[in-house]
Amino acid sequence: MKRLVVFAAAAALTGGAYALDFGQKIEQQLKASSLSLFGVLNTVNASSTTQITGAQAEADPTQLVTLAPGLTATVVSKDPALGGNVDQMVLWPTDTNPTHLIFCNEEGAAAPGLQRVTIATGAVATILTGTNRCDPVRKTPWGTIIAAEENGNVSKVIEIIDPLNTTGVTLSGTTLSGADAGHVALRTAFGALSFEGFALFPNGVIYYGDENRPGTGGVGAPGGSFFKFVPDTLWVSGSSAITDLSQSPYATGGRVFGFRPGRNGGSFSNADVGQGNEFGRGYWIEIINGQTIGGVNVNRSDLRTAAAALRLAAYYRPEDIDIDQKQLALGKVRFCGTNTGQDVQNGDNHWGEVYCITDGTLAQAGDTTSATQTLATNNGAGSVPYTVLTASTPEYQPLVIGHFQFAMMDNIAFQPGRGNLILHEDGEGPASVPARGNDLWDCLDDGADADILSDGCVRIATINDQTGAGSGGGGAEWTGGIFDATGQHFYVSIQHAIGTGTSGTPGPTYAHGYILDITGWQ
Amino acid sequence: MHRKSAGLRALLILGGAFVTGNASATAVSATAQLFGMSQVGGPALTFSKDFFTQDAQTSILGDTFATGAAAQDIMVGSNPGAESSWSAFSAPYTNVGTTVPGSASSMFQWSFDYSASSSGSVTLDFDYNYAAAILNLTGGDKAGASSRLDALLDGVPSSEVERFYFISNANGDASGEGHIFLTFDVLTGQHGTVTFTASSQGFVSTVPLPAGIWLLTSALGALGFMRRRIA
Repeated sequence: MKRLVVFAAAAALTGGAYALDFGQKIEQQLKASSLSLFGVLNTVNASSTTQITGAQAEADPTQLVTLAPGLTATVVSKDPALGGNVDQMVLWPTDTNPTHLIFCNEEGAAAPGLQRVTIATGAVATILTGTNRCDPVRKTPWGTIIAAEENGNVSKVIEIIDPLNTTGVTLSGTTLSGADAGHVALRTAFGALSFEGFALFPNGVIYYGDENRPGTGGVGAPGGSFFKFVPDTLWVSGSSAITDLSQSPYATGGRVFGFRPGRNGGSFSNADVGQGNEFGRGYWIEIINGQTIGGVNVNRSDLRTAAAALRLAAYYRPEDIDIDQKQLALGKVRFCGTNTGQDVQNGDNHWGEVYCITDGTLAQAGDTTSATQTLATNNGAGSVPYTVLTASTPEYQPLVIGHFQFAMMDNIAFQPGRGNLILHEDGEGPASVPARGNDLWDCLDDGADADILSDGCVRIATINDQTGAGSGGGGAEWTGGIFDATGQHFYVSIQHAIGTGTSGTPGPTYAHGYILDITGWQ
Repeated sequence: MHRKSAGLRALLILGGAFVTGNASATAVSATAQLFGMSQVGGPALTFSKDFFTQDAQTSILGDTFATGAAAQDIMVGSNPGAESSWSAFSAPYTNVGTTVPGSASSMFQWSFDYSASSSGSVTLDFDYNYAAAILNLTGGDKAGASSRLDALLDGVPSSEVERFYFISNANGDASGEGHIFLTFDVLTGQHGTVTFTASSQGFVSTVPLPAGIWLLTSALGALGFMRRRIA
């Protein structure tokens, strides 16, 4: 129950209704209401300027973080075999009663690629080695794991069955070896780009972005675009888990579509396609292998090139993605992600953003009914026939706009129950003068108010390490945070933190990672 | 400008009385009060545009919602209960408490504009009281109580001074009087805004216990403050 009374003391009024900065008042009110809005007794007012030593971190990794009052961190693992850049993770076998964390290690092929840790003991095992910067990983509705590389158009997508009994598999090129290699398969149907986030829905429809910086390859080159893959055979919720990888919906192929905003002028005439139109409603444009546009051959195997040819919208390094489970419970598709931007001191001051994309109902999102949209394009491409989906209307809208203190957001996690979003800052603060640690921010979702932006964000944690490991440098960062089903356990990696190691290659000086469990939310 | 009230000790005693309410249940309470504000030296400032905001909320549907004779007194629920008031102690304060699983939060925010008649360094002294307590923490329960006070000078750069007191998952009692000194330089004719925000928050979770009586309600009644029950 809530009652709010606002009034101005009439005796002292001399003019306008409010004092100067209403925004600062709201920021203070967010902090003052931290328990009811965010479940913590107070917020963290500033990024850490504390620097602990490697010995301190190794002895007690919880010293790497300062948390909002009421929150507590415990160490899940600081095993020397833990990857140095532990990134996105999933809970296994369920979010309700997890026994293991399965996660990507975003390092080179010489380091572990996909690992698991036993939550109760912290013991680590390496499932697979040989990936180049493994980043996203998700648990599928049919009981497997998918993971992918952030490695441009040579990135691979991997599907694994029975991950607790899969150990020591090696990936070399497209060859899998090891005693458990039969538990692993490469999936090529998604196409290739720098995978970072996955929004995997119960019917198998999956959305992903290309973590690409604008200007990569030359001035004017676009950033990263968004895609969705619709399997030829949608998964039926409630079906039993598969027993063989050949039964996976991702084994038989499907269709790939890219997001292109612009629906002005009716459905198929002037669609307002081009730079300057990155928000709002649009179309899913199919990536058709072999289509030639302006002399460019479109192919899934290079989605970045296809995106430019198809005039898809682009964003500044799309990163992690998470699904809005409250909307999914209503049968609707909504997922939110981050575009990291760039905040090098005296650089772009592009602080990044959090966006959300809606795509109709779950059934509409998986409907591949399509039509041909023929549009005249510039740059000599002539009149181009695009194959567009007609059952759903994708819409991209911003949710949070970054700022100096909240920059280059990377990973994102909806908190079950409360529905807030936890954002992991991966900014250049540690390399700035004065140096400041990367933070965790807790954001309210948008409510019924008129605007479409978050109703407010507060800082709930900060890292006490602006030095980082020798292998990563640039200070430690939060990565891969994920809640259990209760929303009370937040498992998160402190990536490339200062420690006893300096090397990115396993061995005596390996700068291994740390995984913490943060609890205490009310 | 100078505001001073006479409610300090009474308020702290009140908090203490609350947390002794149920000897068998985890009990939390928290209080934050602005006791007075005064300017210490510096050029004369002219103040204007009082802005006062209150918020009181509990995690469950409150059994009461009451306001005092003046609109600046609100109380939501009794256990958990949350209160934000000005008139009770002739100074703004917040108070929360619970002896049952749930949470309560209350806050007030007071801001005003200033204008400087000459140049110099100004110090504003905010005299405050705070209390945060957990008693009878029962095995398996989790509990927290906090008192937060913050003075903010807007502008670029802004200046912010926070005081925060809390008890978490352990029996304890933190209370007392403190000062926030907000010091800043002004030029002739300069104007800006000062905002003082105070909040109390508390929760008990995990183990449900029989409802106790939040004695603050009766204590306030004993002190003779008349309240108008509206729901």
